[in-house]
Amino acid sequence: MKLETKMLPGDITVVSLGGELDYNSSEEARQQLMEVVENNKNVVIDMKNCTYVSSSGLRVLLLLGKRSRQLGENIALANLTDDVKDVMDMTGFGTIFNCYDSLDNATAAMA
Amino acid sequence: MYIDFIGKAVAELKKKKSSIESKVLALITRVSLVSLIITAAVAYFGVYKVSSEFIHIYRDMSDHAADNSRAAIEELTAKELLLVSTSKAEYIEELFTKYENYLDNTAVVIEEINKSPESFLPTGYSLSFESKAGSVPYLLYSKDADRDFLANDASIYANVGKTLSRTALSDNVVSDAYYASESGLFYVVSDKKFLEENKSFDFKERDWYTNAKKQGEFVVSEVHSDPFGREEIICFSKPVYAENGDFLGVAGLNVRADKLKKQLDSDDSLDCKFIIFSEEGKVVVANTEWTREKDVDLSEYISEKMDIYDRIIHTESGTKSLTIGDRHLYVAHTRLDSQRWIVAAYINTEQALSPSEQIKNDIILLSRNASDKVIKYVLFVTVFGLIALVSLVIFTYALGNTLSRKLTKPIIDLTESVKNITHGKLEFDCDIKTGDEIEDLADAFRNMTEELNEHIERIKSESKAKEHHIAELDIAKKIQMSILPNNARDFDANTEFEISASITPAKGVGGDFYDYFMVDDDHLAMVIADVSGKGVPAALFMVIYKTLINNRTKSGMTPGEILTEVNRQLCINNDAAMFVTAFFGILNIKTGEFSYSNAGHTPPLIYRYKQGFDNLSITKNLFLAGDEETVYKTDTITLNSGDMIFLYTDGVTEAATKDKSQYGKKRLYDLLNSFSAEHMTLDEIIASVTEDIYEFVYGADQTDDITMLITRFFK
Repeated sequence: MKLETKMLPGDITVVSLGGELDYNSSEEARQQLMEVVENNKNVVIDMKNCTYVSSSGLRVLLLLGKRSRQLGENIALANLTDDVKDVMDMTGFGTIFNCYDSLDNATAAMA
Repeated sequence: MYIDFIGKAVAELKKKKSSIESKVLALITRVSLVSLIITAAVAYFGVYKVSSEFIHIYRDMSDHAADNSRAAIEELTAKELLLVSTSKAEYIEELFTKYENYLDNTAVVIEEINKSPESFLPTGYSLSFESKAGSVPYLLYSKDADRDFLANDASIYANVGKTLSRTALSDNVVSDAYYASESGLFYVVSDKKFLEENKSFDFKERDWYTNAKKQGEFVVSEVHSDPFGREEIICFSKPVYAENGDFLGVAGLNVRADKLKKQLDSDDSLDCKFIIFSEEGKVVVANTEWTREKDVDLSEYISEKMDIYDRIIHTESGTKSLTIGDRHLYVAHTRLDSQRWIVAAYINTEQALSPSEQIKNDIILLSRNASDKVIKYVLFVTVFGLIALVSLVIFTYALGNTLSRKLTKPIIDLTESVKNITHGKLEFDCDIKTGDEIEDLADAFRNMTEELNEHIERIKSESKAKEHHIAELDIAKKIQMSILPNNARDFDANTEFEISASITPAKGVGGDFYDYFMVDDDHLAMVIADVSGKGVPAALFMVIYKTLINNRTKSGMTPGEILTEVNRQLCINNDAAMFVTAFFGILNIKTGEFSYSNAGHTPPLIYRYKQGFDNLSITKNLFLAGDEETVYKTDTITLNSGDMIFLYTDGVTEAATKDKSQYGKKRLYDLLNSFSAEHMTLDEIIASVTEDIYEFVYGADQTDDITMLITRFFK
């Protein structure tokens, strides 16, 4: 799993997730993503290169969502692949997270 | 002491046979030893060469000098010898002249008396021996003499006495001077005593008389004993003639051979011998052992003398080298002008050359001394060199020892420290500050030790964690399995439905869960779920969930109502953010009415009798334990006889090959529709799916639990 962070104008932090978010990578992803969420107001997770999210991965996202809500921050997902989108739909994650087709849409929604 | 020292050194070397120290030491020692030996050998060879050359040159020089000196001495000897013989010859010549003059003096007196006897007064003479100093001659008569007739003449002619006396006393070589007249008178003045008995002396028969009378000139006799047997003498005689030429008599004198020898045997520059030969080759005098006075066997010497005479008689005066018998001689000879005698001087070659031999010996001695000195010096240099060599070897050994020790001390320290490490003591307390590779090595060891320590600590904690993890998973699995229903058999007799389930847990990973139970006589509840967490917390969460489902499921409640209730309970204190996806359905086994609620779970498949499998349409609901406010909706359909509901978890569709390609919903769908499910038992259907999954993943590790639950309804 790869993880890259970049700042966009308007105090938006974009975190790019690459590879598979499964049981093996979930703990590392949790720590890093949680750190981003703790320190940034507006976070967009770019899932463009994330090919698979297991239930462990979903749990990480759930934790992020809950923490974000506690801190009163904004968090959104963008560029979900079809497989991942299916999982999100099926599990109802779409009702917790704001999901966008593109990074621009996500940042526009945040601004 | 050295032996002891070397012995110790060798023992030390043997002890450290394989240590770097000994190797370095051996290297230094060998290199220095070899170079020292070579240097010493070269130096020694040089000195030896010089000394031998020196000795050789000295020998040559001495030989050369000896040869040169021998030649010089030969030449000198030849000259000296010739000088000796010549000087003696001249001396003898002078003597001859002097003696002839003496005789001439006598002759003159006799002539005067013969010419005018009247002018001479009669003078005295003696008929018996008187003192030699006297001027009165001693008179003897010849045998045939008429003494009376001659009485007057005797006293007149006695005037010759003075002259005779002068001659006789002229030197001590001349012993007698005399005059013998033809008439029979014999006047003699002698420094010896004549025998009385011989008053009648037959002088006319003596050689000196007859030869002088016959030859009419000065004659010299051979050496002989005087007629009175007193001593060896040589007679010099000369005839006396009257004015008219008439023979009057013979004047003569005797020379003592031994005195003559003494005269000739003067100080010569050479310590040589001489022999004077007479005209006839007889020895006149010689200062050799061959003189007649010596009481020795003369025969041999006489023959040798004759050899010398024979060899020189026909040659010119000069010096020659002769071998006489077994003697090597240098011989010089000089013939007197008067031809009467030959003077030969000789010397033994050996004796003559002794100075040259001496010189040669001196030089040899000198060169031997010199070469001895050189050899001593060489020896000194050798000994000194050896001592220096030994000292240097010892010094080099000591230096090498110190150096190699200094060099290897850090290595030994390092080795000790590393040994400690290998003995399990993971501490590296070796402080080496050599500033070279050894320090680098020590630093590397220190770093390695530290890293090893860290690594070991990490492994320890990790293995502990792993053990813990494994134990936890083990427990979780036991919990998971313990809560699964095992009463499937109880439903076998039931004609309204049949039910079957299968769970294939993934290694160490789990979270799937299924359950079925009768709510009341007419209602069968079935649930399949996937808990998001792992391990004991997830298993416990599963237990809570099962308990909640079991407790909350009451007759008359819809699945949505039940899940809404359960969800609210699960959300309480769910800080770990665990969640469950679940499908919960209730089948009325009398009517076939099937109501269900899907909480974020993979939608099940429905089998319509002889029509095949299809997706069961569902209303999407959020997974459980996500949001406590969620209200779960219920869907309802009616099943006909032979219809089936196929529940599964994502472990089925997400089963993956090694290259991550997933089994997928489509393949499951195609498989299930590829055969006539109405003729198959539920177990057979599950088994065929399981088989197809294994075939698909082709040996890849299972990453999630694979769970299936299938129900068939009969009217």
